[in-house]
Amino acid sequence: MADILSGLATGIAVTFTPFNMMIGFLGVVLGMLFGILPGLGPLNGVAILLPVTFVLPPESSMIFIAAIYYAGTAGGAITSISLNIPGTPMAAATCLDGHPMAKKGEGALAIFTAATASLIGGLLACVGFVFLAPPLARYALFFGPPEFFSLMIVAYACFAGLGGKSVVKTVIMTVFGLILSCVGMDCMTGNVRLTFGYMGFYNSITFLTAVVGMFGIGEVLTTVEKGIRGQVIHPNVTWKDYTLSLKLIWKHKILVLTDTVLGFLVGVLPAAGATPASFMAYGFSKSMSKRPKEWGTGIPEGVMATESSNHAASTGAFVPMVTLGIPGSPLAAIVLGGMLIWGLVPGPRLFIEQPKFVWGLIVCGFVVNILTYVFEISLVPFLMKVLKTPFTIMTPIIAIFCLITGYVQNFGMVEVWEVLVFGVLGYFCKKLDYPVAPLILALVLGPMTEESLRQSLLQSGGSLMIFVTHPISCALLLISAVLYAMPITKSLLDARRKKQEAA
Amino acid sequence: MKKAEIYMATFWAGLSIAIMMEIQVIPGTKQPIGWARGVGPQSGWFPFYLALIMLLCSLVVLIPKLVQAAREGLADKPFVSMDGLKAVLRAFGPMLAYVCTLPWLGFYLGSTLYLVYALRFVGKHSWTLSLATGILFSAAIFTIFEKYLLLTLAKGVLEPILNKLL
Repeated sequence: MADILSGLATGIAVTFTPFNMMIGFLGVVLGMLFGILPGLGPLNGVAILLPVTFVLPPESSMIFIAAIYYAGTAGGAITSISLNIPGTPMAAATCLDGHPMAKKGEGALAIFTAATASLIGGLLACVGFVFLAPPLARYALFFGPPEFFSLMIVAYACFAGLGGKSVVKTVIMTVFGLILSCVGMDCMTGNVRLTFGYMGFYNSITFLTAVVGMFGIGEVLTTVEKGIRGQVIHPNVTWKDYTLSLKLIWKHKILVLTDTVLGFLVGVLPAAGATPASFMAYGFSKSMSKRPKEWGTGIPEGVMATESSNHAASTGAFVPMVTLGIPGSPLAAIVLGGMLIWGLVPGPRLFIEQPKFVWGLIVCGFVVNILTYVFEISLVPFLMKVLKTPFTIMTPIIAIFCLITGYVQNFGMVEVWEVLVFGVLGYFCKKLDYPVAPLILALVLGPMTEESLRQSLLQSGGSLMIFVTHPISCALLLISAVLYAMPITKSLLDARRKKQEAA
Repeated sequence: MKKAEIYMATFWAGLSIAIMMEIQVIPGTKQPIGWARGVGPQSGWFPFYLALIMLLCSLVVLIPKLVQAAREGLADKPFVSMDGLKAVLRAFGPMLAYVCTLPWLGFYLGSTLYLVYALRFVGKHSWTLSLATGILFSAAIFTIFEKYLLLTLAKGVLEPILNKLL
């Protein structure tokens, strides 16, 4: 307990500087913008704006990114409610009851309820983080190369059940990411690999070009193709709606609390993320409700369930990332890559070596949630205007930022072209259900994966048995086997059920 | 969609074969993939076997699709609708032109031209909005990158003029 208090004190000292608060506020504004714009979410916001942080100290960077993340998650609800198009994937479940509420003329009530529920979810999850992360980190201190390798296999396996529908496609993307991470100098022997004789590949492929290419340009192309259609429903915003929303939340406090806990736990599970969490919470609370038949017709409980759980999950996703170096969601995978560039090595040592960073992250979680809330509540009418920003203006601006990001990696055209190629590849992958997140994760963790694998093999004299004879490593491999097997068994069972139904 | 799936899987298979060739066959880029005393697995080992896994996986995707195509034919809903394709090309075309002309126009002039074109002719916004966005945006990134972040972006033909502003 004492170390938690002193940690929090460190975090408060780091967070509450005028500069960091300003950065936090800027992040909230930008995150809100990305969250509200349909087709782009906090994931794209973080991917596109991550390069900005490389001129900031790590603590300020973290606050900036956390602000984009939370504000983006919150902003997505506004789009879901008034446009019936999820502003972000994690707000997709909020459409279910949020949009019917807006149609009934209760749009403002829905937005206020969503904002308050997400504030509660976010804050409580930060408390959970404080108590869960330190013990988890202590446990991981005893890891050697074989354990680290198996841990990374778990990280890759987590995405198998999540990303696309096909496990094989997830494996292809993971492996391709690992191959890309090999391009350039081999850190163990100094040989230059996989260049195809082209000088441009001598400086390896940075994960940033892949991130901005796939999540920036690729995403823009996908959105442009789909086109954004739909009628914005403008709510009449009054303070009466706000007080009413608070009363409703108080009435359903048990629901909000259980969905927060559920969301947090789902978020902590590696790679599950906020989107499945919100759907699970919706389903769970619906089955627990006294009036399950009315869910989906526009009742505030539906909005509370999804928004409290998706915010809690967003926070939970940081727990395995900070403690073990396994990102709990695609977004955490991008942040993980950022951490490496900020000069931080994720994993158990982070808590000991970078207390300022870790506790700063925890405290800024609280601060940013509150900032987002105040910003959102006070500016609802203005935020509704952002919804109408034509995508034709956003497309070139996003593209330019992505391409500049490529350029500044090395001040040459090679990386600019890489961004464009990743953009096109990202577009095709998205359309054909090849998940992009595993590729990014593999590109980030690739060097560590290869190093731990080769070190383990060197230690064992070339025998792969070392991963099975070390108990923790063996357990981790079993977990990943289960993770890979789960979606396969599920699809086999589904196919069998279909056959039986047909028969 | 089926055709696109087949092309994509073939692309992965071809890519993995190319990578294995790069490591094992092409002179000049060859890497040892065996075991060396004191080093353990050599530099080509990890990427070579990864490429092998990728090849196997792409075949797992490809073969059932081919079997299905042989049985049912290739006709099904198209990969992208005509309108969708037009929209994508309208967004991607200017982007590509922007990148191709970057070495000559540089980021600042290039961005202005790109924005004006994209806003006026793709987005059908007014000339005023297009020009204002294009010029203000370039001015903003110039100030941010060159003055505050001290990162020098390519300036192309405007190099002599813009350098005087710093």
